[in-house]
Amino acid sequence: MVLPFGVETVQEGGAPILRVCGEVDVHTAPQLKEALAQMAAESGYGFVVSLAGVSYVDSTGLGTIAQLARSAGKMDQRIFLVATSPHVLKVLEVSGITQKNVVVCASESEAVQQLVGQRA
Amino acid sequence: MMMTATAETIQMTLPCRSGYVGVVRLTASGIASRLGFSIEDIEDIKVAVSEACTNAIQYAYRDPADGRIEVDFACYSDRLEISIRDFGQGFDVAATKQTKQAADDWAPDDSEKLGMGLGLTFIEQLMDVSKVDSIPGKGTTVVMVKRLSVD
Repeated sequence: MVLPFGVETVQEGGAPILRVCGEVDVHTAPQLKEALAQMAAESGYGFVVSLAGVSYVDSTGLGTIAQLARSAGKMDQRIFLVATSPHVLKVLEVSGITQKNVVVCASESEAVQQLVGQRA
Repeated sequence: MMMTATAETIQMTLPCRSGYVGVVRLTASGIASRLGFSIEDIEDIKVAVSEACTNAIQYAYRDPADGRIEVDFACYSDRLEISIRDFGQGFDVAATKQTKQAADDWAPDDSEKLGMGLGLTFIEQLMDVSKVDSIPGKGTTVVMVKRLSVD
């Protein structure tokens, strides 16, 4: 069973969240890029990107997030990534993205708390 | 690479289009599962195979519509060997590896090269053996091996 790729935007506790689900690869990464760009344009301080529903991600998805992190950094925006599955965590680790202005959180509520806490 | 025993091979030829990477991934996953790889190893294989196909789709052909990708899965009792081949323009393997190092600080000017460098990093990190051969004007072959761990 392959879950189809999809994104949805929600607001939780004052934090904008982009929930991504399904497989992020060379085919679906352009859709992720578009959604992330829209989030970045609409969110001031920063936002949460939840990969909790992502069943597969590779360098195309990570590259997309890294590009976003780079432009977000210039605008003083912070990105809080939610990653829960061993596969997503491993890919994040191998990519080295965790070292930059991207904070990886274990749950959506933790990410929201951190974002709202730092904004205050 | 060791040349022990005979392999059972599965071959695929696919159009050089992004929508087919998921098909290769599903096939790789099915074959690896049949050979008895762990879930973690299967995830590694899926990523490595996708990265090689992605490189072919994004960089091999000036007009990807004309392109094709060949994927061979050679199943041995102790390992899975996968070759992914395109017939495109090829690239400078050494130069890309240098870009890959620069990609560590996530600030390269050329995001396309970053993508390819990162893809090659994934293949190297997630497989036991990997080798990239590229001949300008002829194409690129990526060979990768995942060994079955004996517990």
